[in-house]
Amino acid sequence: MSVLNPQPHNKLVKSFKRLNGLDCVLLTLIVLCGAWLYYRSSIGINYDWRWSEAFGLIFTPPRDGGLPYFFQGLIATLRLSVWSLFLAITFGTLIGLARHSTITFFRTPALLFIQLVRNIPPLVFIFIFYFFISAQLIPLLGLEEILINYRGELNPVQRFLFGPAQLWENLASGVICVGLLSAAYIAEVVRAGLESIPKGQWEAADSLGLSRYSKFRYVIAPQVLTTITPPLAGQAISLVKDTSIVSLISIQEMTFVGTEIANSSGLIFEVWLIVGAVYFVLCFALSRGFKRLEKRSQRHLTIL
Amino acid sequence: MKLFKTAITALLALAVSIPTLAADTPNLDKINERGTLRVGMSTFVPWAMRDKQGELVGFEIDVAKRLAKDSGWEVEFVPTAWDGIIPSLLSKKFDVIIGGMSITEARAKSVLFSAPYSHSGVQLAANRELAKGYTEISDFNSRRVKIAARRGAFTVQVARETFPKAKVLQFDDDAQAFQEVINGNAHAVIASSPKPEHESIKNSETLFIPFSERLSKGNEAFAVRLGETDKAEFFNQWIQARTQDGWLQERYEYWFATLDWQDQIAQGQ
Amino acid sequence: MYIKIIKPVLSAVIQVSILAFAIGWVLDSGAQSMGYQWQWERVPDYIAFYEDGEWWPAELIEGLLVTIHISAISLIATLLIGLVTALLKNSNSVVGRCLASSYIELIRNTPLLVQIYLLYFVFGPVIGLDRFSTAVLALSLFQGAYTAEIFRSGLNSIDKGQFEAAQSLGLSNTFTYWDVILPQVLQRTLPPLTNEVISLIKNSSIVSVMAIFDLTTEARNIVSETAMPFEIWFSVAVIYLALTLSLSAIAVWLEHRLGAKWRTQ
Repeated sequence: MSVLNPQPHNKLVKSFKRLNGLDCVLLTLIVLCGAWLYYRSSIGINYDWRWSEAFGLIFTPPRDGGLPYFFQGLIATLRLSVWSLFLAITFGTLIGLARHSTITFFRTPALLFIQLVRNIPPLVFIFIFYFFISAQLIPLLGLEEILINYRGELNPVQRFLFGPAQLWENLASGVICVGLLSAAYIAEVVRAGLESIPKGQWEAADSLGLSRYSKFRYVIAPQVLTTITPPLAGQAISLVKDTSIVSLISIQEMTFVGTEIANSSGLIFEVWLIVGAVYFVLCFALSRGFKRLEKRSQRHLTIL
Repeated sequence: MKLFKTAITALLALAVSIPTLAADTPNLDKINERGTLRVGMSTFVPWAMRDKQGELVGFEIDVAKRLAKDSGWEVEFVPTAWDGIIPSLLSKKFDVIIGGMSITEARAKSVLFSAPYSHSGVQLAANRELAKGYTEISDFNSRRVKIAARRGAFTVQVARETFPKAKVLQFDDDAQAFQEVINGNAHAVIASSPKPEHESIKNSETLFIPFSERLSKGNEAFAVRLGETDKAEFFNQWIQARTQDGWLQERYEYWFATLDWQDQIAQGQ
Repeated sequence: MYIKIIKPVLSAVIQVSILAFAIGWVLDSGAQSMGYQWQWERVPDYIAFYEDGEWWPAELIEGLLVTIHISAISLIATLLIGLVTALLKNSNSVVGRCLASSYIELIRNTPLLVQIYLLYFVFGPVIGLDRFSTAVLALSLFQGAYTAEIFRSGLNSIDKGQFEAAQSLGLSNTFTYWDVILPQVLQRTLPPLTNEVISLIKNSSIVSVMAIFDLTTEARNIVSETAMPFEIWFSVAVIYLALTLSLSAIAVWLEHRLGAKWRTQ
């Protein structure tokens, strides 16, 4: 009955039938904790749980049709995550390559960017972003006309991909902010992946006389991709979680919508539990999906 | 020189006193061109909040919608966190702030205020247990006392001036500030009237109003960017018209003096 | 030996200065286009003031001290929670493994901000903790889930032979862990653990939604009262950079002291 020997997980089924001493201790602790929490919740807060009203709020559509407000926020979060992921992967790969390169002109700014983003809290980054970059970058990129003053009719594809026109500037700010944040971490992942390729591979490709492009495309990239997929998956999930922080700069995603609904209706407890549950389902599904992808991509590495 | 100055002043006075038929209204023209008035506001029951259908309702919403309708515009609301609302205005994310913003000197350095359109005060709601027996200002003016407020609101300034020794906890939302006091983690919350009065009726076992007089009588106005005098003039005229015909007063009473609107939003206990 | 330490520290210092310069340039161009008035002379007021013949720390320094305080206490709690969870996950108790797995999955799949809202505004009155303790709890619960993974991989990297050797020497469970396993685990996990400390400091800024007077909260309050976002946020970013980069330098030194060769195993 020693705690010493680590047990692999596939013995779970057999172990269910044999609960040992530690199990009993833990089960007792859990029951005690549960009882204490229940006791505290009945005297600590005098709150009437109003779940039916909360669910009503979540699912009631607006008067002029369309999705309920909560789901608009959820879809905004999804849009935000997907577009930021694109931006982060593109930008992150470029920066990772720059960091890995031998030309100092590329390497130093990349290094500076990564060090800056990785060492300041995300909250500080988004406030700096909010006050400076968002006000400067968007006019700079000439997007002001499109984003703020667009007046055309949207076709369904545009609406699906980008959401309602009046929220485009909002979405763009959020995407750039979250994308930049994650790009720094993805850059590090890409760099580590590049550095994990044995030097022999580069040299063999060179000795075969492959062009730079062919070398990357056929020899290096496939190996790098296999290596970086797990950490990239983890980074994608972190990105979905980071979208909640941009609610503090009034980007209209699910946490912001949740705050508005909770504050307006007073059903603070229920709404926050629902928001937490939705994030959990989202990220959990993503992580399971990635694990499956990983298993499939690793198939070529298993020894038969 | 003196004659020159007098002449210019006279001309300016003349220009200002002539109603909006002034030829130069670049900012208003932009709104006219777009056809939509973009309004920055913040969720703050009952100034602006979400109803059961998820749509915006409230005193500020009514004011903005009426202003747009009277001027022939559509209206678009841009919900923004309160402590970032002035920077957002300055970065042109919207045209005007209609959110019960109190006129203060500090703010007047960054934005141009219109004429006041409502006059709420500032009031304190205290936790029955923690602030038992506190009835004087001096009771709250102590280092041990914690007062919750919304970050960036005028109430923070009032708290600092009235209770300089107390600790002011600043939250992103009023709802959080009130929750803090209801949970017993702060002695009192300071917010714009009549929210403290409403909340202490709703939570009468936990909250009470220690003072009979409001702590400060504020003036709330629209805010636009500095230099956009044509917009400010236009809004002033509208405010004057709506004050004279009593519409503003009627709306104010509907939202603040009665609780008829509560069925529209799901109110927690 | 000193070269090994001085080089990363020096490069860090140079990086910070170049960064500061670059940020300054970006800020300046941004401010100019917005017609912003710099008010740099007001910033030192918020760092420290001179009264009665002594220097007193002002808001930003006080905030910094609170940040360090919270991070330090959360670190201890995090290490405890992480270690316990890792041991539970590796044990042969079904309930223990379930508990550890569900804890890790729950924490890793919800954003920290939502966890803080839930813990403070929803469960806070239930549990009855004060603001500071709730913040420490939230931070350590969050970080503990990640630290558990580090400890677990550290534990798994220990050769089975070590366990067997200890057993054959007749050491009991407790002493096996205390004298043989854990010291090795500590050496191997120290570099990733220092990253956790830096993560803690970064995540501690999110507790500003709970109105804890840490560095970020002080910055937000000052900015909303004085409307000088550029100066304050720049200063705060530099302070955080200094904090985290110096911790990284300490990490490099520690790694050097404990022998980097452990990490490659």
